[in-house]
Amino acid sequence: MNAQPRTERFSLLRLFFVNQGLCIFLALLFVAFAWARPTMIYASTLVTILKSISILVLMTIGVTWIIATGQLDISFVGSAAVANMLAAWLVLNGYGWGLGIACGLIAGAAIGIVNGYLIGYFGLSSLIVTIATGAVSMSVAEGIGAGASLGMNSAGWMGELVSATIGVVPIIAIGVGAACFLGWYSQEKLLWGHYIYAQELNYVAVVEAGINVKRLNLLLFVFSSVMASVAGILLTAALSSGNAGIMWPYMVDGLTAIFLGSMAIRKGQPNILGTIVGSGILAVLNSGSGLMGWTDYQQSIIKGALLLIGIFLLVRFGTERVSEVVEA
Amino acid sequence: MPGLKRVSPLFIRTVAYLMVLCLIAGVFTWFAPQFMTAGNLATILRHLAADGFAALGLTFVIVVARYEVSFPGVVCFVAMAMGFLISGGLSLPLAFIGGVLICAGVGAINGIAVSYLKLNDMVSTIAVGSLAGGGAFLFNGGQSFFKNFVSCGLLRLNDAKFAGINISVYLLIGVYFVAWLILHRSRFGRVFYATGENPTSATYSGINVRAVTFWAYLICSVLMALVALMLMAETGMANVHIGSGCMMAAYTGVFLGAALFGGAGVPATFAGTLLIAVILNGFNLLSVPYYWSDAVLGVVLVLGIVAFHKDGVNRLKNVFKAKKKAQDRAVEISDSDNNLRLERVK
Amino acid sequence: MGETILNMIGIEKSFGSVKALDNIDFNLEQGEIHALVGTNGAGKSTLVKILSGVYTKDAGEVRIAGEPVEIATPRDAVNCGVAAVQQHPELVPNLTGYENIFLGREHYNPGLFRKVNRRALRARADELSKQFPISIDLDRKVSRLSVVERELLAILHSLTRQDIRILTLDEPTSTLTEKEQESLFSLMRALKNRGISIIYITHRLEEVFTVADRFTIFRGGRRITTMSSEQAVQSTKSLAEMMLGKALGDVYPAKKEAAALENEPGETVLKVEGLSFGESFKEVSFKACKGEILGIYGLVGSGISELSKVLFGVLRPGEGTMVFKGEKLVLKNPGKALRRGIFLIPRDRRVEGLTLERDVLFNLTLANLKKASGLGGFVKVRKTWQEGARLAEIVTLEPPNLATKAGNFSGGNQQKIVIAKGLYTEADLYIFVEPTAGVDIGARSTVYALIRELSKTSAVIVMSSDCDEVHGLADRATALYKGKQVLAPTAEVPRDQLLVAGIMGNEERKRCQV
Repeated sequence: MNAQPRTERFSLLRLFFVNQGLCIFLALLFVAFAWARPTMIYASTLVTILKSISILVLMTIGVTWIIATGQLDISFVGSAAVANMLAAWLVLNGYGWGLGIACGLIAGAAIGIVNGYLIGYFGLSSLIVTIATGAVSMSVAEGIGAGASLGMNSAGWMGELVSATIGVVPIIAIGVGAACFLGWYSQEKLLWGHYIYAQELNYVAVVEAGINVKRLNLLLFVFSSVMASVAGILLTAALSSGNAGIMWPYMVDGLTAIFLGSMAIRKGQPNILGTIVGSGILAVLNSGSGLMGWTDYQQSIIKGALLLIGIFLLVRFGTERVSEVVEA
Repeated sequence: MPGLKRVSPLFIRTVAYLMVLCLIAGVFTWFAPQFMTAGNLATILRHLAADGFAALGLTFVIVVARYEVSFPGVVCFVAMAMGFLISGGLSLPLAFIGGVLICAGVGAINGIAVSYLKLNDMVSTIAVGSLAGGGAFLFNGGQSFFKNFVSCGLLRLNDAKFAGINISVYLLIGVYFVAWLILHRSRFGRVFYATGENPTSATYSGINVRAVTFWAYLICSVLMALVALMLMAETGMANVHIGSGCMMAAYTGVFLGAALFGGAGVPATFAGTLLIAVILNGFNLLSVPYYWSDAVLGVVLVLGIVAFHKDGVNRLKNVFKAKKKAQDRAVEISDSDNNLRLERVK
Repeated sequence: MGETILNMIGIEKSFGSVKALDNIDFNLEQGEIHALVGTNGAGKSTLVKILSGVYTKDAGEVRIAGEPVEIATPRDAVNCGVAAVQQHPELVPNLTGYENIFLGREHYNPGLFRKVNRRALRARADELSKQFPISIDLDRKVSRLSVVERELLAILHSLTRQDIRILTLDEPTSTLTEKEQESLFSLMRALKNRGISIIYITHRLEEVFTVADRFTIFRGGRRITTMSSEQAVQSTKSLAEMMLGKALGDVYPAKKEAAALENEPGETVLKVEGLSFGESFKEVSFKACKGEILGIYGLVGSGISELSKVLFGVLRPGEGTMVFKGEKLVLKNPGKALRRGIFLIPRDRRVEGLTLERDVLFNLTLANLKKASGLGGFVKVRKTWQEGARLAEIVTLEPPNLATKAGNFSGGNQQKIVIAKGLYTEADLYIFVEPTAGVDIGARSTVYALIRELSKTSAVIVMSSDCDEVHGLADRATALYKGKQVLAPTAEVPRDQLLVAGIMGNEERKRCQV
């Protein structure tokens, strides 16, 4: 009558094997779009897709782990927005990218500290706190621009960095890739990941083992916010403007990427590689829809449906969650 | 015996709340004297309706210990649907019924997804909200409806008064009263609370927990039809983004109310929503730009929770402190010989 | 042995208006196993929790090895060399045994960015099990281990931290069989040989003689006496008296005479034939009649838990028939069972039986809201209050305050609330699972009396892993062993026969093993 065990850690070799399902879907999706619109495989489109993946992964890398511990972080778009607008404002007013980046990161860290403290130390529900901090951040971001976006004449050296590519691969993708490798490594091999997943399975045991869970959670939330703010800053450079409103779609996209991704590898547990594949699916979807001429709202319908189907499949075919009381 | 010697804690809280309300009103009046005019107070009450209905719907879901984030999208969708019907010539009552049916359908989808398919409530309602929000565009390619709005009498909901107070206020109070009767005076209300506080023991008491959760989502969505109606009456049109402001106001209203009164409930939500409305109105009078309103709500929400959470009322802990529950169980003496703890329901 | 490792002087602790500890003095000698005995609420758990940092004392002093210490958090306790093992230890289910042992202690300074070296951990675990021999496969995931194995793991886990000098165990044996207790005791003796002093809380007097060097009796928040096992052996009877504070009367009410059972059988309320549920139990048959108590004895894991859930509609049986008052019974859910007239007093009353945050009246009426409400579904407040007061009196709820939260009552009183909840449903069949788990002796006899009273007007089934309980209460008794019904329902079963059936299956099997 015991529940079947959840996943075990996979070595790198087996990763791909289990990951197949989601990757296959990604490949099929890409092929389908490419067949409908051959411009899909042009270098420019591929670069765009890789950039999109990079941004989305940055936004959600921290949130992935937070959800892995059984909590939520809805404020990541707010952090991105604040950093985005702050950097834009500073650059626009002549303070330069150096200061812009620094302030953006500090803002992200501040939001993360507030989250981490209220949730980790004060013990409040992560949903409520991050809804609140997310709303405050978004509001502040809009306030920086007094309700409008901040257009820059030139994105300077940062803009060039963001646009630079090696062949088809954008530089930032390489950077994000390296960050992901570090992330995967710490998730699998270090105590960091060990404690994150243990916390989800039995929070009480982890606390009783004397592990400083509060500090772990604080770090998690700070990390999440900072990563999102990096994404926001990169977007400022990429678009040569500060625009808080564009952050909203990342909410649904990000959560979709994480939940789709959690179906792979760890079967039910959000993880870095899964999020990357999930982001890939969404980036391909975004680019493909653009090429197909689908409107925003059509995309949002499709994404909503995708998310719903995704979690449905997850529940049906993923790991067994803890037993319900009444067996129908 | 506990509790006999002290004054009822509910009484103390109500008094405290009224004091806070008066204090805030006083501060606003000091900076903007037009706050205390009959006209402004009527405005507050009039605006209250839309957010009030949203918060009321959300209350039912919170009581069964779930979350719902699809309702802004649902409001947009049903507003466009009703706008479509009205512009097509349908009378107001019929269009409203149509809206209610649509909302019931969406609520049923939410309820089935969360309750019967056992999908994560946050994620599935995000998805449904996304679907609904996008679907709002389908009615008119993204353009707003306003034809026939005046002739069908919709605007009268917003404008007409009875004894100096808007019709919408009476409607609000009426619906709240019915909701109060259901949630706090009837057996169905007990079933909702039992489901939210301890679904296992509710099941063992013969309560169909899944059905109850389903109904909570359904009721919540149906109330969104009222929200849409109020917003359409206020703005005189149905546009695709009409519902996007609901989210923060609803959550803040419910949780602030819960923080103030020690648990989610209809009177608590009313109190919270009223406080929010007063604060927003005040800031509006002080010419604070619209985009700061969410920030204000966020700060108020966090302050409210933080200020009141250390209170000894345990219902509050259940609403907010998800993880603390797990910690508490470790600390309490568990005097039952139960060796299946590793399969505990989270 | 000899020197005092722990001194607790003048300890006081109150929870609200309830005084849990009243000027307690307690000494622990180096290298001894010291048992704390007493009924529920006597204060033994509270004292240990103060020592382990879970609670903070209101007054008094704690000295370890002569040095005064301040223990405000569990961390402080560990730093002082005190390790505590909870009654139901928390382990991470999907990690292996050795991972759980070293959880939090993977390195001497476990920063978050240290590598998890599983091979090294495994080797350390081997080292540890050489010192403290336990026969557990440490590579298995904890979710697959039995209760006693998890208990042993938890003890080892608590030892991996700094120099532990004092170990506290909170009622570790409440769910263990006698065989399993031996593994636990041998580990404790190994620990003792290594110089670790152990404080050990238990309800059960017999254990005191098996493993403890000295023991202390608590009652009502006070320390009554401390003595060694030799002294205790001479006076077993008065030990129980010291625990209870009064002469031990008959705990079990009078049973129905066998002759009456034969000649005047009550109406058969429930007849079960060939009932099976997956691997948990197979081919179970019995009758529950009005006027008599049917006892089902089975250890943890024998299937009685699943059987109770099948009878109440929480689980659906694979095979077999149930006939209730002449009609075939198919239960889709507990609601149906309640409507037909079956009520379950469940094993885990805090999770399954009560909504702890709500008052007594709310809980009382929850299973029969139909009765509690009038037209339109409105709850008849005054009527339910009157009825509630009446029921509270019948079950002798203490204090009989209907407005108090259920969670604020003691274990025994919580059980009474559940029974009252059952009375409110006016059921024809009451099923009790572990009716006195976590209930102290004082309340036990009340619960037994209530059960006997109930049996006069309804059918009653009592399922328990406590052989004495089943033997003492039941008019007819049957036993389950690993899912098989090894003893058909019989009247006047000798205690030994019942015990053997439950812990070893068939007597034939016993002969074969020898």
